[in-house]
Amino acid sequence: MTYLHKQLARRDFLRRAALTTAYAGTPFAATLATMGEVAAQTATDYKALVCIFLFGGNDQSNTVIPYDNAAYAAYQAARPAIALPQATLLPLTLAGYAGPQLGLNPAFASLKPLVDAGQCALMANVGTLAYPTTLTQYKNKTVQTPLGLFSHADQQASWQSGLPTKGSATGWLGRVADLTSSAYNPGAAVSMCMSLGGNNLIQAGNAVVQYQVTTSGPVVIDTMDPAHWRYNADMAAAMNTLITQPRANMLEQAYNTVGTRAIATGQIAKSALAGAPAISTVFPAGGLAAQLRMVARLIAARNGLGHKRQVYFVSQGGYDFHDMLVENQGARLKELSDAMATFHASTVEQGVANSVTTFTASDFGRGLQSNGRGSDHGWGSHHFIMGGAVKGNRLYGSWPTVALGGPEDLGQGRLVPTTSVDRYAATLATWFGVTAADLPTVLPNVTRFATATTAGLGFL
Amino acid sequence: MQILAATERPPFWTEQIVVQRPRHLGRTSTWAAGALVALSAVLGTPAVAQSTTFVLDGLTYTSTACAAEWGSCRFTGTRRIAYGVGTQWVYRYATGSQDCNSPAFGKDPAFGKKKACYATASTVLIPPTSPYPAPLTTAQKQAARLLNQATWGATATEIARVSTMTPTAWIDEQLAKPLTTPSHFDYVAMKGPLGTSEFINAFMESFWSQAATGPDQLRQRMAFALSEIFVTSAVNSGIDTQPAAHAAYTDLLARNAFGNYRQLLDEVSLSPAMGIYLSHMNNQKEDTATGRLPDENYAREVMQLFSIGLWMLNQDGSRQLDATGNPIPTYGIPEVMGMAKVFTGWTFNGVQAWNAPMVNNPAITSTSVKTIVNGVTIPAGTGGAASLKIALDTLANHPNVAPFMSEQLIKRFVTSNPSRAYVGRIAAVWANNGKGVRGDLGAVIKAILLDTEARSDANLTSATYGKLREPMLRFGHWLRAFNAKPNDGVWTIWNLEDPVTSLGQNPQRSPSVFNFFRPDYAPPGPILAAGLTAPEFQITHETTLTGYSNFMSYASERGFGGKILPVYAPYEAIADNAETLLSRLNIELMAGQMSDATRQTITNVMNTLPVTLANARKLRVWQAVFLVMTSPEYVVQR
Repeated sequence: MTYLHKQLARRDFLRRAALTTAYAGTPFAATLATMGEVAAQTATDYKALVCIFLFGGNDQSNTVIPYDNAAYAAYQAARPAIALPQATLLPLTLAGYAGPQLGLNPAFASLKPLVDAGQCALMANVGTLAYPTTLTQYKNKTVQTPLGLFSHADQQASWQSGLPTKGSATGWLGRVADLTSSAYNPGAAVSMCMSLGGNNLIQAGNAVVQYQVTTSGPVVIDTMDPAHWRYNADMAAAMNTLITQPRANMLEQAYNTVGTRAIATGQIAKSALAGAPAISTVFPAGGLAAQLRMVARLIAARNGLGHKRQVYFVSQGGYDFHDMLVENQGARLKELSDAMATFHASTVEQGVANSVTTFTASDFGRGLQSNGRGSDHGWGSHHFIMGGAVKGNRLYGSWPTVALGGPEDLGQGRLVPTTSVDRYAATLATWFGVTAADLPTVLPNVTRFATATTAGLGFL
Repeated sequence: MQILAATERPPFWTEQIVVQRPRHLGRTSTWAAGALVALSAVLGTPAVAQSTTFVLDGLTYTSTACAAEWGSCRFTGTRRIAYGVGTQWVYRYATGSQDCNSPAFGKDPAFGKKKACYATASTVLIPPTSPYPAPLTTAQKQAARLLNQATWGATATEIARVSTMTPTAWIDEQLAKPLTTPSHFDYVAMKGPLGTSEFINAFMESFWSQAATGPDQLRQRMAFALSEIFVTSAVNSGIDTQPAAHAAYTDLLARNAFGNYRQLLDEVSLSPAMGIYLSHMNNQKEDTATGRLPDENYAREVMQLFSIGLWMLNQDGSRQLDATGNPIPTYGIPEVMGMAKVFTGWTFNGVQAWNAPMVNNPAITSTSVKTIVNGVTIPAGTGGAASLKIALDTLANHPNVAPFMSEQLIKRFVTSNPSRAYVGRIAAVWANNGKGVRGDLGAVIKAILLDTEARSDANLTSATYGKLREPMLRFGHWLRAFNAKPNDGVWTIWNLEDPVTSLGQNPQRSPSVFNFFRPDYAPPGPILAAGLTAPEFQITHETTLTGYSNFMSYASERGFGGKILPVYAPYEAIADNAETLLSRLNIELMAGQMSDATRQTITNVMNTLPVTLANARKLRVWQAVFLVMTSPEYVVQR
């Protein structure tokens, strides 16, 4: 059964379930949690979402590049000092795509086979939007645009919160976890949301709090760890008192909230990892690969963690190439490509390739026009979605005109996005198990772009 | 009942016998509490009493026979053992066991008589010989609090000195202090030809030397605060292996710490380190033939981070709102592009001349018209230096700067959530130092520290007041409070970056130009829900809390790198008196704010270590320092 049919079958089941005697006594107007529970009872599948955040604003114009001669010429004319040579590009043959033939930055040598094999898809010109926005609307300011456009911190927040016109305490993956935690991971001591990339907004939920893990696993306070030579029972008891007790001062309380979590979950996570099956896939060197290797191990530990659903956050920094774009972006993209491809292989090894979907995100794209050595802050960008469930070797969204003065160019080749983060996220959240009825809870603005049932872009 | 005089006790009895007990095994004695050998058969009849009562130092000890002479007593915990018979006794405290003979006690209290040993019924505390502490005075506490806000950490000698001064007098003294020498740049130069050091290690040595021992402590803290606002970094950076670049930049901040903001802005903009970090060095003018435009990196960040911020502000730091209730941006793309042209043509004044301001190369400098912020237009034909002056004058005179900068400086020194009124008072000093001068940084930091919101003790009990000490400040405090110095004068503290095994924070190595944490960060939960901020929480989570704890459990005992060792002797001397030791740690580390509950918790741990154990005093000090410095009452500075 294809995944599309599975989704329809599940929705159908829910509708029918309310009308049959199988769940007699359950009112049709069920609570969100109950709907989630019903879904969980029927779904024994495991699923994980992995967000790779590229900090700094990746230059999309040198990531996916026109390969077709005429289109390439326009690209090169727009940024002659930093255009990649056509002969070095990795040409794609995308299914169902009618635009100019595209190529990948040569750094993607290891990821391209996954694209070709249909395990990886491209998302074109996606970005934060308050409303669907045309170039004319943008120039005439007749439509509200995201706050702090072109500012790193604000756009990172917008991408992660899904709420580009107001501050938010929560992110869309955190809100997904709020809805699905009790149904899919009942009683689990470790959060559904696990981060290898530090504190982030995208995994912050109203109830769910992300759990930080290092690339060598969860860490435990030595003086409180009976297995450690520094352990001391009296010290452990004292520390436990000091860093878990409630405090009147709010900052002290926040510190002790972290302390409590560190103590409560550290040992549990450590044991679960220790008891998980080993992974033989060899990961390359580098920080992103180390993060994804730990993700692979945590996936292997999912039973010990009590997880049927998992949400991961990993990150790579340094994409703000105002300078040295050609010299340095390639190495960074190669690290990304190699880490992603290896991670996919590790999910194949574990037999969960169809259950794990990885996607990239970034502050924004960059302007097509160069400053001689690099590019400056833009808006719409291109991203990748990878996994066994992905309908890959396709391009989703609309391929923009890669030339100055095109229909999406707001100036200097900075693109007004033609697909919103909302719909990108909706596709991922729906695959993960969020129903159409629940979708506006995860993405409050999504109905500005599509109905909750049609918000998905089709790559899952 | 036997009553004995205190003179029965030999003067050295508490330090006599070394009882070795591997401390990592914890308390695993298999002897049940109170299990003592029945001795009637051994002692014969009439036996010495099975139990008897002693009074010593006003304390009554009921003790039970545990061994005859030449036997051995075994028990759990620490007991007071009496050896002798009749009215002749000697005593000692022992833990776990005590041999019952004259050599073991150092003297024969009743020569020729059959003696026995008696142990107290349960674990006792050894009365300390060190005196109990005098109560901490208000002057001490207030001095320590000021020192924690305004230096790399209070020390015993500084608290004693500053508690006799007014805050104003101390600040004036600090404002007048000359720069510490050698400068960072001179130090790095002494290590060898520029650029030959591994990473930026030479700079790290100079940084920690000045932070830990520099007499100009307020200047040191101001330079550090400025480095977290006007950020340059070795991470993802063209100056990753250039210690001289970081040295020159840090010297620049220190030099301008109490000067004028306009001068600081000028020097930062022309710093070669900044020119490389934010890529405006050799930034080329526009080229209509190729479509090339000037790099916007520095143009954007000098506005967003170094002067006016993103949103129009009222003088109290709150955002202005338009008619529809939305915040008002300070600039858009056109202003960024105009400013980008201003930052063209600047280049090294000599090969790797890190210590000299950049100079202008007219050949690559844009002289087309430049529209910049606040409606200012720089006319066509204006050269590099003249354009820069107009642009930086415009930024420095923008009304946003006073509240934008004042609020951030308050957050670096005093509290994460200043009242709007506090921000407004400091912004007013920024706008006019009282002598008609705008941007007087010395006047601003003085006003910040003297403000009632910094000095009033009423805030000590506020639920929303205070700031989380960032890891580097906690470590710096430890270095200073315990006089930790390298024996060879070289501060080889090169790498504190690993969040698992170290502090997760390293000088001049923040992950991006947004510093280690943003000034408006709030951790999810009650703080965020209340609309408050706590910037340092951006790097506070399970990993860093655990990493810091493990780092401190090692450092508090063994120092750093095997050579930067704390001087604990004064603390070990009083370690037998938990109350006295904790009183010192309370005033030196916590400015006297330790709660009774925390004191009791730590005291209880210390009292599990009787001073009869080998290294007991050292252990007590390590444990106390570690528990204090990992407790929330220390980590959050009020």
